[in-house]
Amino acid sequence: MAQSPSVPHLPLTLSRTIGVLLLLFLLLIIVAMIAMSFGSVAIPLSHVVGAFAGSESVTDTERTILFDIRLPRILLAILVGSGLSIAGAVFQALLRNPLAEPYILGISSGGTIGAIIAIGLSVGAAAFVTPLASFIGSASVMLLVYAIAHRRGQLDTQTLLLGGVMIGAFFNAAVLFIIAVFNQELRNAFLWLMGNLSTANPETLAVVTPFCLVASGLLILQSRRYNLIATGDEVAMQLGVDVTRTKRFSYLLASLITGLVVSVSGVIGFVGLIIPHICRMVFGPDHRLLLPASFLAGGSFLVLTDLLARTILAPTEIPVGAVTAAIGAPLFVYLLRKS
Amino acid sequence: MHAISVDTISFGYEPGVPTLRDVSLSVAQGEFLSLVGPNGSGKTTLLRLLDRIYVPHRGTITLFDRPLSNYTRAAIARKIAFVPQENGIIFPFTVLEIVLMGRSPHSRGTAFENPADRTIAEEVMTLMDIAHLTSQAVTSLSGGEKQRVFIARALAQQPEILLLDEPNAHLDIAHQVDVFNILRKLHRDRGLTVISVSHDLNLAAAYSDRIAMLVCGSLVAVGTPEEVITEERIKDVFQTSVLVDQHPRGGSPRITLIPSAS
Repeated sequence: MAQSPSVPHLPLTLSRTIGVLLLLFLLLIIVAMIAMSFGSVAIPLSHVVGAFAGSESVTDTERTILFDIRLPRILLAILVGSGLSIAGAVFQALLRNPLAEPYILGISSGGTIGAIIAIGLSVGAAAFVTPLASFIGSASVMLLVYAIAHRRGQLDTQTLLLGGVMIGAFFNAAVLFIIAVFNQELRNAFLWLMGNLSTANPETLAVVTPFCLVASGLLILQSRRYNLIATGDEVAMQLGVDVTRTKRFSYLLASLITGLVVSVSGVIGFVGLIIPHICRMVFGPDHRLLLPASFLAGGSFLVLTDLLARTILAPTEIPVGAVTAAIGAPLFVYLLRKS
Repeated sequence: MHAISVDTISFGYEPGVPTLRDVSLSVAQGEFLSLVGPNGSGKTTLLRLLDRIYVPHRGTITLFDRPLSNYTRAAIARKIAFVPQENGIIFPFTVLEIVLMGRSPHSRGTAFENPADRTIAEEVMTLMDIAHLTSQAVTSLSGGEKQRVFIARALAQQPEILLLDEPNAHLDIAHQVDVFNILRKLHRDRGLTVISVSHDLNLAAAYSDRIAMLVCGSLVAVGTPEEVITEERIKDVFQTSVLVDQHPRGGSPRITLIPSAS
């Protein structure tokens, strides 16, 4: 399967990695500031910066809007975008397929079903129950898709992707069914199926965020192994990697991130496809830069797409998943044609 | 000392279908051994077992007089490098990045290659005649160029034993001879042990100290090229009539194919 020949890139050094990541971090801050100034009440960028600096020219109303309404949502967008992007990049390395990502593989849908069952049964009272149920759902789907695509010791890529898409379709139907059974509004289902960053529960978020950060950090520490695995399982073994153990550990953590993220945002597709693809084109395929870069760029990306989703038809909000799908689906087709 | 020693090993990918049966073979340190035999005779499988990609169902393998099972994956990778037959790399890593991957078993716990790793990579790239491809994506190379990249990666591993699975498969004749000359030089100058699967019996005979012939998962002959490459045995094993005489320069057995008359 051919991947676009990227712009010639230099071999990675620590200083280059740090430089790129600092730039991406700066970009994330700028994007977040810009996003904070937009909304039903426009707040000038100078006031946004001023609010952080403790300037006295910022009114209390502005402060309330910025810190109580907009900032939590932007932080959520960063968490979700970062998590989905790094999970996507890891799945792509392990499966050696640039089309793999949590949504296409059906793993996001698995998380949704777990979360909805927990909420529907009202066992979601404790803040950790919904994310846990969501993780169990996503990890189960990961195992299921893997089992479906595994034949005679070989992983069939076409089966993997089609199997994932079909499992996703099946679980989406199940989500609609469960929500009908529990007699909730259909709009609720809509939010779960297309993603939604407006109604995250702060307590759940407080549980989810540290786990996502730690899991992402642990995945980044495996980056050098992913480089070897991305060139072939046997090659990675020949070069000294315990492939089975690395893969188990990584699938588990990537599913964990997916499940946790889904439990606070619903299914937002294609982020894990778009961001690693762009990062690979710009920075090259070395995972030591690709993973942390995807993590930071994914945050910026979802902040921007969420900004688009809530402003483009204001005051009506469109689901952020619709925006990411509008960008991601054509990219998927393009990559499929090239593969 | 034996670099690697195989004692009555058997292995099959599927239950009841043995790919290798009771194979015993010892390779001395600094020896150049070629594995030959018809398609499907188990040559590649034997290489994989030697590198513990697969584990034999019966029998034992010892690496420098220690059971192979006592080594960690990384420890094996510091002793043995493997040049695979084909490699479907899909991500556009550059040639330098691929070659530097050979350094990873030597740099545990560090995230980035150091200048010494870079120097080693540059040396082996020059040796393998791929220095001009340094920053090209490996996905854009020809089969022969890729093959040289993978040999370079294995050499960057600075192994004591080099396993090669048909290293000359995609190479033009100039690079075939180049690669074998480099292997012979490394084997003579640095005592590198080379175990190479080859379909080219002439190259195998010209460069190897010994040849081992596998047929249907069993070793049928091990010995010097003169002992193993005979008209009768080739006829017997490959069901093909050939002419075997002496190479006019080196004196090694030379095989000439005889096209059928009709």
